[in-house]
Parts: sequence; C-alpha cells; structure tokens
Amino acid sequence: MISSHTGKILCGIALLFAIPIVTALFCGEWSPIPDFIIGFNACLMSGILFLALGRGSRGQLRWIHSMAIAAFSWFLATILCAIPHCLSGHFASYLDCMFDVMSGFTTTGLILILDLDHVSHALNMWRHLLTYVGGQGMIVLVLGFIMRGTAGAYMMYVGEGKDERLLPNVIHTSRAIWMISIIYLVLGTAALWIVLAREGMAFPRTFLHALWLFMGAWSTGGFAPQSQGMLYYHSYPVELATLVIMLLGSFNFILHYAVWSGNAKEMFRNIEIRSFTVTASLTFVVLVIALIISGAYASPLTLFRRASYLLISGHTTTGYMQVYANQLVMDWGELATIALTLAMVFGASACSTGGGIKGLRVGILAKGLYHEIKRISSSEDACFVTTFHHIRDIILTEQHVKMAGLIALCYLAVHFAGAVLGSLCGYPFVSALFESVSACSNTGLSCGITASGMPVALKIYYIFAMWAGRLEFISLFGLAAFAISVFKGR
Amino acid sequence: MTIHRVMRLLILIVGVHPLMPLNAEDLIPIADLVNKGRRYDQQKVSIEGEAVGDIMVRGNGSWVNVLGPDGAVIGVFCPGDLAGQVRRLGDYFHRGDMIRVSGTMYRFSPLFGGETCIVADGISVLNAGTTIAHPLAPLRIMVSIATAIGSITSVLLYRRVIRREER
Repeated sequence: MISSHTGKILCGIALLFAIPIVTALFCGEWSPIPDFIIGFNACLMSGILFLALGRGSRGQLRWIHSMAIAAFSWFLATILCAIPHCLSGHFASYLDCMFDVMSGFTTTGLILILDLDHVSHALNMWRHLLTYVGGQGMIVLVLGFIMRGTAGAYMMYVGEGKDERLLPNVIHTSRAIWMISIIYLVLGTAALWIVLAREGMAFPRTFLHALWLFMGAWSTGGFAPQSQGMLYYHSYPVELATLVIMLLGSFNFILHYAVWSGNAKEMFRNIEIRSFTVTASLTFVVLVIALIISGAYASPLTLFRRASYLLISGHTTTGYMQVYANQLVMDWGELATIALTLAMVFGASACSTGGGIKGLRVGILAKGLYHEIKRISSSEDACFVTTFHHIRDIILTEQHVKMAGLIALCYLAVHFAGAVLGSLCGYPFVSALFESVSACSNTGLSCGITASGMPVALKIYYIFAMWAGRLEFISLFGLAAFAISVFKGR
Repeated sequence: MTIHRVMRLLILIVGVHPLMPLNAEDLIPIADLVNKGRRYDQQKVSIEGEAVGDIMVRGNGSWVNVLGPDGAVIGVFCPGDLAGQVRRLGDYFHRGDMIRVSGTMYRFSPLFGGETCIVADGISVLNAGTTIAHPLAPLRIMVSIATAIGSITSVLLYRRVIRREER
C-alpha cells in the first residue's frame, strides 16, 4: 500500500520535469535537455516500479501508512530530482545536490550550488519550481490533479504537515490550495515584472526573474536566480514587492480562502495573525535595539528598512537577505542574530508555505499558559473556559496544548542538537544555533556556515532537519515506526 | 637626449597614461571587502572581476554586479555612463567582461539605503567577455534515449499486467 501510493506520487513528480525542458527549448539551451530527460525517466521508472510492487495490496490505509508515504516519497523525490543538479556540473557532490533539492522542496533556501551566476535558465527554473511545488506540498499536488478517489487522501494530506481543510473534501481542498497559489502566481509575477522593468532590467530576464522571485517569496523558499540573492537588485521597490508576497505566502491557506469568500474580519480575529503580530513586534524591537547598539546604520530610515525586511524574511521563514551572510554576526552583532533566530523559531502560519513552530501553536501555548495562570490565581470553585479564534471560536483543551507543546519540543530539540553539532564542527555556538534553526524552521537565512566546504556531517544533519521540520516530525516518526514494525516482522 | 626623443617620451606618457593600470597596491579581493567591511569603509579601493547578470540603469547611473575570482560578488554603482564600457555580461552562454573598478567602498552606504557597495569613479575593461560553449555530450544523449526506452517499456509492461489482472 505504501509502495503503490509512493509510486503514484513519483509518477506525478516526474511530470514536473517537462517544465524545465520547455524552458530550455525556449531559451535555446540544448545541453541541459538530456539531463532533465534522464531525471524524468528515472523518476517515472521508479514510480512504475513502486506501483508494480504495490499492486494487489488490499486493506485500508492507516495513519502509520500515510505518515510513512509522506516521509518516504519526499525522501525518494529528493534523490531523483537531484539528477539534473548533478549532471549540471554546478555541485561538488551528489550530497550537495540532494541538499539543494531538499532545501527547495522544504522551502528552506539554503544552497550549496556553485557559480549560480552562470547556471542555465532550465536549471534555475527547476530549482524554483521545486520550491513552489514544495510550498504547497507534492502530495497536495498529486491529490489535486492526479489521484482519483479519496480513500486515504486525508491521511496523506495530514502526513505532509497540513491538517486543516479549506473544503470538506480533501481533493477539493488540494485543488483550492493550488487555485489560490496559481492566481497569486499570475498576479505576483506581473507585479514583479513591472517593478523589475522599471528598475532597469531587460526582457526576457525581467519575466524570468519576476517568476522566480515570486516562486521564492510566495513559497517562503528564498531561492533567488543570482548568487547575491536580493542584494543583486539594489532596489527598494523589489524588496517591498517581495516583502508583500512573503507575507501573503506565510498566511494560512484557510485564511486566504476565508478572506476571498468575503470574511475579511478573519484577518484581525485569527489567532495566527495575532500571534504573528505579537512575536514579530517583540523580535523587531529587540532587533532595532541591537542595530542601534551596533551602530551599523546612521539613518533611522535605513535601519528600519534593513531590519524590517530581514525580520519579516526570517519570521515568515522565507530567507531572502539584503545583507551579506557574514555581516549578520560580524556587523549586526550577536543580539541581532538572536532576535532573528527567535523570529525563525516562531515561524509562519500553519497550513501555509511557511515553516517554524507556527503561529497557531505559539498562540495556543500562550493561551494555555494564560489559562493555567488564571486557574491558579482563581478560587478552586471557579470554572471557566479559554477560547481561541481560528476561522471559528474553539474551546482550548488540554489536547490542543499538549500537541502544540510536543511539536514545539521536537523543533527545539532538533534546533539545539544542530547547534551542538555545529559547535563540535568548530563554529561559534550562536552562529551554529542560527544556522540550525534556519534549516529546521525551513527559513534559509545564513550567517555563512552553509557553504560547499562545510563538514559532511553538518550537510547530512541539515538535510534531515529540513525534512523533519517541513513534515513536522510526525511523518518521520510514522516512517520510523513502520520500518521498525517491518523489521520485526509485524 | 634629443628633442625628438623627448617629444616621443612625452607622447608616450600622455598617450599611454590613461591605459596604465590603477595603483595595484589598492587591489582588494571582493571577499575581503565583504568580510572586512569596517577596514575598507569609505576608502578608495580597486577590485577586479567579471561583470555578471544585468546592467540596471537607474536615473543618474547604473548598477553592475562584479563576481570576483574568489566567488564573492559585490554591487558597483556607476555614475553617468561609466558602465557603458562594459559590453558583455556573464550568464549561461557568456563569460562577462573582466573589469577593474576603482571607487569608494561603503560598508553600509548612506546613499543607497545601507547597501554594501562600491561607488565607482573609474572602470577599465581588462579582457573582453567570451562565449561559453555547452556542447551536447553524446554519452548523455545515449543515456537519455536508453532511459526513455526503459520508461516506455515499463509503462507498457505495467499496463499489460494491470489489464491481465483486471480480466
């Protein structure tokens, strides 16, 4: 059963290879075409193999199977989609290729690619496409357009780190998510196209950069087509446009659907928006204080521009930077690094393209704490409920707080373990913590540790952290439990 | 020394001087400018590197991004039409012009919203850009054909097996 569903997902992923092939044809790039044909065939044959292995499987899909499908298919897709990267010659090893693909799928944005400024348009299209698909979810893609029937669909949907439905039917939910994303893709690309043209870029690079910047910002992935990232454009209008797109991409898809359906008040009542506003404001204040102390920027306007963009980029877990990586620690200082680290830990909204612990869980934990304090300070006879608003008013229960706390604990454990590993590899602890949080929260801000020459152990760990963070751990636990049960012969 | 020789020497100095390289003592790797910005902040510097991507014309000047041999890239603002000397920019098909830029380095430029950049006052093209060849690799074409045959075969076989089972 795991095999057949994994096979369907891989066959669906294989179809994506057509887009960079078409890009290469349009741009007259003949050399990359065989690379993507090989990747397509490898993905398709793997999908057929898994379908064949799983044919005739009977029985109902259970939660453990769905979790295993989500985790396993993401891992396999990472290996197979790295084939064009490897054949491009822009990577030092296959591990580096897998790192970049996992970074794309998980919308992290950390990169190990070499000589990005001379990469083909086809490979750039592929990189950005992976982050766009990963933001919505590859299983959401397959559910929306390839799978027929809904048996087990909801469980696989949840396995990919989403547990909220826009519509009662999860297939319709998947299609609605993609409809929202594609509408924003058209509008956002058009807006960026106009901005880039005004900023002096020529066609057709304006169109391609507009498309890729939108994909990077909306998916909160943070990939950019040039090695300097956002620094390449030297443009406040481009920063502003990507800032708006990042924020939109970090919102819950349910929130988008609610607002589009006429419920604009949801923007102000939703616990995630309120939680995000509070945590972003607090971390912004700390960041501004840090920058004033460091004396980096003389002008308050300049300070506000630099701080707000990077703070929003970190908090939405996008990862676009308009400062050099080394400047974060060397010039902005450790306090600024800590503020950004905290923002990344909090993260974006649930059921969005963003990562981190998520605003919903942060809000629930805060409400849980408030409830406990109120309970302790009230008389023993007092009986009260605490509610939170997420599309509808929900009574806060112990189960809500417990689950939020467990997932938050998992994130913190992986962050800390990565920081310790980074320290053991010789990096300063604050920098190692920053980079580890950036990987696991799928942000992609870097203080300079992520580079082709970093230790292999750290590359492997960050791949795991990105994978675990994107799928919110439960799927990986499901995969591990399934593997153990198979090993034990159950 | 005869007058003719003096004249020749003068002509040589006047004619060659603009072509003479900038003071090599100021030539700094771009990675150093980025990593040690404090040291070079608001100092006159010279860098060498490949012009990549796009020349973005903005009002009273243009932005050019320069890729150093060390892999670091920095933005250079070229007032007026200083960037006009750069003819070829680096991308997939081209190695861009190798240029030497002299100008003032800003760690956090007050003119450009806190950007780390160089405001150029001189650009010289050291080597013109060239075309990068990307020949089709015969082995890769053969592998892509072989895997395509494999894909088609596996799809047909799978469909045949499924149809047999359905009967």
